[in-house]
Amino acid sequence: MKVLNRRADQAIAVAETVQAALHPTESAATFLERSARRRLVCDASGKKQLLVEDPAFSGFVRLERDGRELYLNAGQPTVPTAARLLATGRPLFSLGSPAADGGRPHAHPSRQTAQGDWHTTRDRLDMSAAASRTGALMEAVGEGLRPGQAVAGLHVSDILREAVFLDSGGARLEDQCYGVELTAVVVGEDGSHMVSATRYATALDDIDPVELGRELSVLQTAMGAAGQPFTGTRVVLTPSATAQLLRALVNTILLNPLAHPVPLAASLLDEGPCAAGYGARTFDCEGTPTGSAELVGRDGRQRPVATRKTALADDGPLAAAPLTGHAWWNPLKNFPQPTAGNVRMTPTAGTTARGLLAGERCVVADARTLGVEEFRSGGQLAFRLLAARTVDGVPQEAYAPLSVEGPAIDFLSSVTAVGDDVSYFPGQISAGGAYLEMDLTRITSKAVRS
Amino acid sequence: MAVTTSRTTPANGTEELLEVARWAVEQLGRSAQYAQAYAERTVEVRVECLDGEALATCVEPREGLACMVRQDGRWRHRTFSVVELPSLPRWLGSGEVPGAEGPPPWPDPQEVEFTAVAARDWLIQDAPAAHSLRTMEDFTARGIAVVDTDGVRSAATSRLVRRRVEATVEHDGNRFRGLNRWLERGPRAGGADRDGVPQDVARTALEHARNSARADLGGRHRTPVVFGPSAAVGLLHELVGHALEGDNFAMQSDYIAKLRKPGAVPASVTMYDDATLADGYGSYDIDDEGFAGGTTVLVSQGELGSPLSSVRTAQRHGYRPTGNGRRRDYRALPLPRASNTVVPRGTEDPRALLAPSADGLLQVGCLGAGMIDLRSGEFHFAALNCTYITPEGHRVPVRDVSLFGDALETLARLEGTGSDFGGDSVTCGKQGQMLGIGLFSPSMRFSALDWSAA
Repeated sequence: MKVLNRRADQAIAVAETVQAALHPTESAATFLERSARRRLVCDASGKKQLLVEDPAFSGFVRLERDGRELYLNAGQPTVPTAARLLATGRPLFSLGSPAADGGRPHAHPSRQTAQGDWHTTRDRLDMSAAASRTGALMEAVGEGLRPGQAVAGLHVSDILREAVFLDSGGARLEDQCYGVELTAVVVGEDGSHMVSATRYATALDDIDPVELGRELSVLQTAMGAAGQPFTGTRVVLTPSATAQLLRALVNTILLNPLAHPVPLAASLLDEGPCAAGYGARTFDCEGTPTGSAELVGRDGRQRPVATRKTALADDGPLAAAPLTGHAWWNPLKNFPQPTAGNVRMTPTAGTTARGLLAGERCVVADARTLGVEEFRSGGQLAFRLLAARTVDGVPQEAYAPLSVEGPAIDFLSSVTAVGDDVSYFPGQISAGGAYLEMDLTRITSKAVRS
Repeated sequence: MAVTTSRTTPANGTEELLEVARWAVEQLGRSAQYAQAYAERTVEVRVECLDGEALATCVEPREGLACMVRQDGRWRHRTFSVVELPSLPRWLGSGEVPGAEGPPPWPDPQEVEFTAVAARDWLIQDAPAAHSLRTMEDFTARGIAVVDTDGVRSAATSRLVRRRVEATVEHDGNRFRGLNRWLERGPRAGGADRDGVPQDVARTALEHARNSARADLGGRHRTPVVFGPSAAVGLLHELVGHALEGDNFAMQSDYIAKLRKPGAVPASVTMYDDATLADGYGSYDIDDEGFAGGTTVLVSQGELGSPLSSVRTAQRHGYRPTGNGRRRDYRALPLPRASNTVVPRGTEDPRALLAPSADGLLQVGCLGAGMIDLRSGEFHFAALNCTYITPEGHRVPVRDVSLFGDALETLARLEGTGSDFGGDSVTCGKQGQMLGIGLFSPSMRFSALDWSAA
């Protein structure tokens, strides 16, 4: 059976070729990353198929000369094409920008080993063994469903994310983030309203398939025919819905820092090197160490995030802000953008998922953001929430979709309790979802007769 | 006007690309029922400025060969970087023919002759408010060649510059953005002849930002909605256009099945795809599978026309080839995509369309990001540059509008098409590929839509 092999040596060879091809007055920094995945797909009849995605590395070279710099977007570079990449860029140096100061202090210490590499785990999933467990896993997911719902499929995946950074100053960094995903697909009666949900962990045994089934049961119910509108104010979000909410919130506050702090029940944490996180990494695309820090404290204040070219919630000029390890290479952008690593809300004292779901609740299983932050005018969020009425966590029927909207700080301050069991969800920002409770009073979209 | 010009080695290169594609098809055609080779040599230069200073410049060369074959009824796709070309004959397992020629030479790095707007030329003279101005200039010089076993042998070059402006104002500690954009295409795109235009574009973005800062109408509403020129076709592109892309059209979905029924689209709607427009973001001489760009009627007086097709969807589903196979670059599969979506001018006075009802009216200047679920027809979109017109006729800026509803119900509520006309350049995503498309239409009025404002 195919396995996911480390291929960082190939990326380092490309980066070294870039260094070797530099002219005497030039310097460069190269960042390359890739995400490989094996996915075992199992349908309800037990038929299995293994799909492997094993892409090449992509990233960028930042070429610097005479105080100016140019970013070269490097899609799947190879050793023989590295010099050609530089040759395309050099004649365009006159269009380059002033080089940002690379000598700024770092907010976090480096976690790289003396060998210049770091990994979340050395363990690897035995996919053959996992294949023999799919029946049991489907049964376990099924335990969390209600009558009429059925498991239609299961995916067991392992994911290897590799990143390397190498520059003319001698930095040589390597990260390996490895983890396992369990995805289940559930349908209602007559195969209607197919839904899926995923859990991620460093090992398959760390994922609770029954709990995944319970969440899917609520989601499948919420996707059904809309029932009565929810007239209360307090709702509980499933881990998947929490992750949707957090991802949109973080994207928003990275573009529109919070301006008016209010006290919060929980702080918003960013833990770059968290091994349980989907995006675990010890350095960002600029080679800056990542760390664990609050993005937003319980005082409602947003903490600084700084990359070479941007500073958010800064308490001083850009040139002086310590680099925080939040730079992300988006190939559609022109320079590294500010981002977050693994984000989650801190649990509130004594809060458990079981406690949050006790009794009759409105449980939001899908929090769909309306619009993309970049195209909004600033700092406002809107979601369409799909929810179900549950009794002790068991879904009864769908509520009519809810609309909520408001500034990011209102969403954060609407969180009243956060459970203690976090699972991370994939995406450009790895969001850690836990069951949490929100009071929608401030953010419910009011029907207005204009 | 201060300018910065850069030039690299002069070469057109399309003849060499054609030779590489011809060679590839010759190698692959021996063991496939159909073979297509797409050779691309593109350079993208993107310049970003902030408040009159250069912030960053990114250069992205994209060059390589994509091959698509149908072998024993199965479609296969593989890309080759320039240095991997010698391995191509071994891809399908047929091995190299003894004495066969190797790959023809790949052209040298492409000539790039691009004059960026000088950073300070974006700055707004006598600006009416303190603001920050971020500008992004995306220049693309693209050369492609396509050869296939059905006799296609085509090549084309294109030059395009898209400029985007983001103005930000602060109000009570909060930031509010306004956006605007400007497209140039053709052989002179990216040249120095554009006096005054950058400032005009920036000034409009600043006006949008100031309107956003002034907006104070929130909540959920149901009112008539008038989509301005280009925003109207943006909505129809999402509700109808995507459904008419060959791969989507073949889907067994409730929504598309209902859309195909007579009467689902009002008889007042005519819409076509036109790759030949001189100023269209999605225009092309040939599509990315070598077919000449043309005009395809999508809807004629409410009746659905041909689905947009790529080679694969045409062969799989028996659709008429329409020349709409498009790809982000050689590393991605060609998909059936819109080029420029056009709704012709109507007859109604656009000012009359804006007459408010007893609930007022929402005027939408630009449709932002959003999505339609092609299984159910449920949609939600963000809208920008919006104005609420009160029942008394007062104009109130509204920011961050979200529109949502059911596509078929919304289409049935179309009640007027204006005699005005306008265009826009937008990016549209499908299966991870972001492509530029043009949107051209008059204003259109819908009797009722649900919307909310933050």
